[in-house]
This record gives sequence, structure tokens and C-alpha cells, in this order.
Amino acid sequence: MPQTKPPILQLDDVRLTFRTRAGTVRALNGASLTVHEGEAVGLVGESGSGKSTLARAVLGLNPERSSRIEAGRILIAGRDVTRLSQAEWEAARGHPVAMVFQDPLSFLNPIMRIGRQIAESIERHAPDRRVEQRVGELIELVKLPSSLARAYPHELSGGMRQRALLAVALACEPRLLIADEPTTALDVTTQAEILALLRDLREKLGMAMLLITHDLGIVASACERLYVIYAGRVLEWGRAQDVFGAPAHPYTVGLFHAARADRDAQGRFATIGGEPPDLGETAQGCPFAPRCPKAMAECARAMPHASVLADGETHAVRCWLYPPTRESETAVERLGEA
Amino acid sequence: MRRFLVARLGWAIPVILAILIVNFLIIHIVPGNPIQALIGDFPAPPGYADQVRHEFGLDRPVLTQLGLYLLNLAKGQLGFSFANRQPVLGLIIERAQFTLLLMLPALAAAALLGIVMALAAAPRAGSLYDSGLTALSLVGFSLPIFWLGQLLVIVFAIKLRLLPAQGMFSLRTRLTGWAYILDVGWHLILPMFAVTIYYVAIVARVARASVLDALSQDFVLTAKAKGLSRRHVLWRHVLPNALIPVVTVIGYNFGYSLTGAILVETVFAWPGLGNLFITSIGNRDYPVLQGIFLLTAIAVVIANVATDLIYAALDPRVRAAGFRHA
Repeated sequence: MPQTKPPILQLDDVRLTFRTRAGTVRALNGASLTVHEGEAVGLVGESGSGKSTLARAVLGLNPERSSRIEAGRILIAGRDVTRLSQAEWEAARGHPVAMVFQDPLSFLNPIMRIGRQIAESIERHAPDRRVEQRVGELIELVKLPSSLARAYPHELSGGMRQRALLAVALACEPRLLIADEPTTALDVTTQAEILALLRDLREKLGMAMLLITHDLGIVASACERLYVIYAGRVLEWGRAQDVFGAPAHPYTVGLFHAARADRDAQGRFATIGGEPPDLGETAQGCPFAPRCPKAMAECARAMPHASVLADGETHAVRCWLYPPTRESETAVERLGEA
Repeated sequence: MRRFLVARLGWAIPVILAILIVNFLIIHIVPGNPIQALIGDFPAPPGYADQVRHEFGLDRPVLTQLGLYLLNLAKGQLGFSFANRQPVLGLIIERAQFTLLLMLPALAAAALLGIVMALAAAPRAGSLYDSGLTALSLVGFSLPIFWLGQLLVIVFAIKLRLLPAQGMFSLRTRLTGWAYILDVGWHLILPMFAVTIYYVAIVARVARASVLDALSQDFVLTAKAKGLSRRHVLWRHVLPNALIPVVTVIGYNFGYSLTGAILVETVFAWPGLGNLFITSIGNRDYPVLQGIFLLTAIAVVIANVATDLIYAALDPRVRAAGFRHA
């Protein structure tokens, strides 16, 4: 594990709210996360957990008028980007952090040729390169025929579009690629191809990746570490092998049961009962408490501090079931470095 | 692309033919008598009306007249104006030039202004500027164009004496060269302004809505995530995607603009097609009316085909669909 690499992305207790007609929505409620140079990290959560909001916050892409970072810090390669103006964001996006999105059709401009969409990134971030040649290189890098530079998005299949979108992001020459549900809109075989491609590219380019997904299987195959996010809070994090080996938080356990299609005593598929919470409420305690099979009195009262679990310092959880670690602050700090 | 064009124009022929026949019959059903209009209140001998009627072929059965009309059309003859005593074709072409001189620059200015205003307003939807623009375009859209025209005449021609109130040339002068062009331009300002205001309002409303829609599309997020500037995203990504509904509105209005200027031409006594149309109705001048209808039908069809071609140029998905179905 790359213990010594510096962090490329750090989120430090970020609180982000959306102002809506129905009132204020707390989309991120103290989310912390670290991605080191060259590392592949998964961010797992169900719909509405705040994972896409987190990803967009890293590039200042949440709607500027209705969203606000209330507290916390976002650092990209050590630079604080929490309070950038829109003009400063324009200068900061794309490099060193670039992003690919979920639906490869709607996220490509339908009336612009693929090659031009890639060329725009190159002209913006590496203007001294020979653009046409570089477009060809990038298209081949994502394993598409270079003739596709002249194609329009509607002429490509779903998997090809995702590769094209990937080429648009790679043209920014990022050190961190954020992939927001990059395979959700694709069929299973195509998913596997895209994941294999992402792995190849990371090795070839030495690029870090933050992979956002609701699919634990994808994290298992592609990530070294993972964070489990729920209602805008990170509930559990650690090395993939540790979390997969011994999931600690009842929510994570529930996710694993659902992902493995486990059945309960009556033979029904295991699900997590109830609904994700309404993010408009000011929740004091653990957001998962109302749905948690092991909820206790404390759970509703306050959110617990992190507990570093016994199996090395590579796995931590925020749950009252586990005794808070005495030396929690330092241990958790060190865990962030792990 | 050629097949697409041929198919679209092929469709236009039966459409225009149907329009011709319906228009021919409607004019003849409408009460009123061209001979009476021609002779006026002058006490003519009883045989004279019959003679004139025979001269113009109006004593034949309507269907025979229709057949003759279509036959002449096929030969490229639009007939002879009862009232103006000159061939219809030349008359219409002469007047159509004046209408185009008024409408083309007005529509072009309206299209440009409307789009630029929408591009400025939509990214700040809900702001004071945006609300003001929406309110203004609602007002511009609701103002009757003849009322606005008269208001302009009262203010700029009568009160301020800055611009001419009527017509296309200064009377009692024989200007040539640049002086003539300047004189026409001088007379053009007020009517063109009235037309432009109306169409700016229409274009700005549609353009604002479609820019707003394009702004909310996912690909805008990709473009921003690449690090492109706001201006680049707006002009290169949002605008081209927002143009299609705008082109529809402009194309649609362009087709009608040949006769659509009836009210403005009447208020400003502009000697264009709209003006000719009104006098020809008064005179029951069938051949001229039919000629104008024919021209309008052709203009609308051509404008529609041109609109489709612009769609195809703007949107590769339309091109693909056009090749498949055409």
C-alpha cells in the first residue's frame, strides 16, 4: 500500500447544504475523505446518500446559487478550494482533478463531434500539443478506433460513449479521476470492459481514482480502499480487503447482504428496511439509527466518534457498537494516511 | 442530403396545388363583384358590364375558370390585373421587393437581438435583468403592431419631426444614386423598428426558454468539468443546442413575412405586397389576390424546407433521421 504518497484530495468534515423550496437540505453532513496520489478509492452509497454531491463539490459543480459549503475544507493537492469563486473554479477545473459522469449519452454534447469534444480539453490544458495527433492518441488510449473522432455521440454504443467521455476527461491530464457511477448505465459485460480499462489506465498513467458507485462488486474489483457514505456522513472506511472481510457498521453489513442477494429465514431477499432519512431534518444522532436492526438509545442522541478496529489501523467505523478509540484522533489521522 | 431535399420539395407540389384550388374557390364564393368595383359608380350602359365580364372571362362557369387559371399558371402566366391594368407577375415582383426590403433586415435584426438578449438573461434566470427582459418581451409581444406603428408616427414624425411618417420616398423630389438610397433608408427606419420590436419579443421569449433548457442539460456539466470558461460553454455548447426551436420560430415567421407586413405597410403607407393585398381585396382583383396567395404559399413552403435544412445543418441526429426516412 502506498503509505508515503501525499494526498491529492482531502475532504475535512465538509458540510454542504442545498436551499430548496421545501427548505434547507443537508446533503453532506460532515464528510471526510482522503485520496492519495495513485490510489484507487471507492465511495459507496445508495441513491441520495450525497456521493454525487461530494464528487461535484470537489470540482465546484454544484449549483452555485442554491448550494453552500457551510463548514469544513476541501484540499486539492494541498490547495484549499473550499471558497473559490466561479472565475477561480474555471481556472481550476479539469487539472489536476477531472471527472467522468454516469450517463455517457446525456453527458456528451449531442451535436459536437467526439474528436472536437476531446480537443477542447486539450486546447484548454495542454495548448502546446499538436491537438489532432493528441486526439488520436487519446481515442486509441481508451481503445476506440481513431476514425471515431469524426463521429457524433448518437452514432456510438453505450460502452463506446463511456470510453469517449473518459477520453475527454483524460485529455485534461488529471492526477485524480473522479468517476461518478461510470458503469451504471451499461450492461454487465460492458461494465467489466470499462472497469478493466480504468484499471489499465491507472497503471499506465499513474493516476489516482475516486470511484463513486452503489455497487460493492465494482469496488471489490477496482479499489484499494473504500468509504461507505450514508445521508451525507461517512459511516465506515478502510482498506477494501478489511472492510470486505469484516464489515463493521450495521449499514455496511446490510449492503453486503443485499449485494450478495442473501435470503432471510423466510427465503426472501435481504433488504435494508425503511427509507433513507429526510435530509431536511436536523438529525442529532446516527442517521442510520431509524433503520438499524441494532439501534440503541445512544444512537439517536449523538453521532459517535470514529473507532479504529482491531485488525490493524486500516479500518474504522463510526458506530456506538464499537468502543471509541482512546487515541482516536491520532489513530484516525494516521488511518487517513493509510 | 439531396434525397432529403428532393423528398421535401416533392411534398410541396401537391400542397401548393391544394392551396391554389382552395384559394381560387374561396375568392369566388366571397360576395362582391369585380366588375362593379372596376366600373365604380359611373353610370355605364347596361351592355358595358357584360362586355367587360366577357373580356375577363368571368362569364364562364367557375370550374372552367379554375381550369383555365391552372393551365395559364402551368405556362407561367399569372394573369392580368383588372384594376392595375398590368400583368400580375410583374406587379407582385415589384411590390415583393419593397416588402423584402422592409422585412429581411427587420427579421435579421430581431433574430440577432433576441438571441443575444436570451443568452444574457437565461444564465441569470430569476434575476432582475431576466425578469425585466421577460416582462418587456411580453409587452412587445402583446402590443398590436398597428397601434405601436401609429404611436411611433405620432412621437417621431408628428411631435419630434425627426422621421417621415409615411411612404418610401420623399415626394416631389427626383433623387438618384446615394441620395435616393439614403432617402429610402430614412423612410425605412420607423416601419422597420415597429416590425423588429414585435419579432424581437417573439424570438427572445423562445430563445430564453430554449437556452434555459440547454443550460440544464448534463453535457453542460461535462463542459464545465473540463475547465472551459463560462463564455465558451455558453457560445459553443449551450447556444448551438438551443438554436433549433429559435430557428423554427424565425423560419415560420419568415414564410409569412411577405404578407405578414400588411398592418405595418398600411400604417406607414409602405408600397409593398401587404398594401397591394388590401387594395386588391377592395377591388375584387382576383388575379392579383391569387397571385399573392400563390407567392405566399411558395414562400411558406420554401421557408419550411429551409428550416428543415438548417435543422439538419445544426443537428447530426436530424441528418441521420432525414436519410433514413426521406
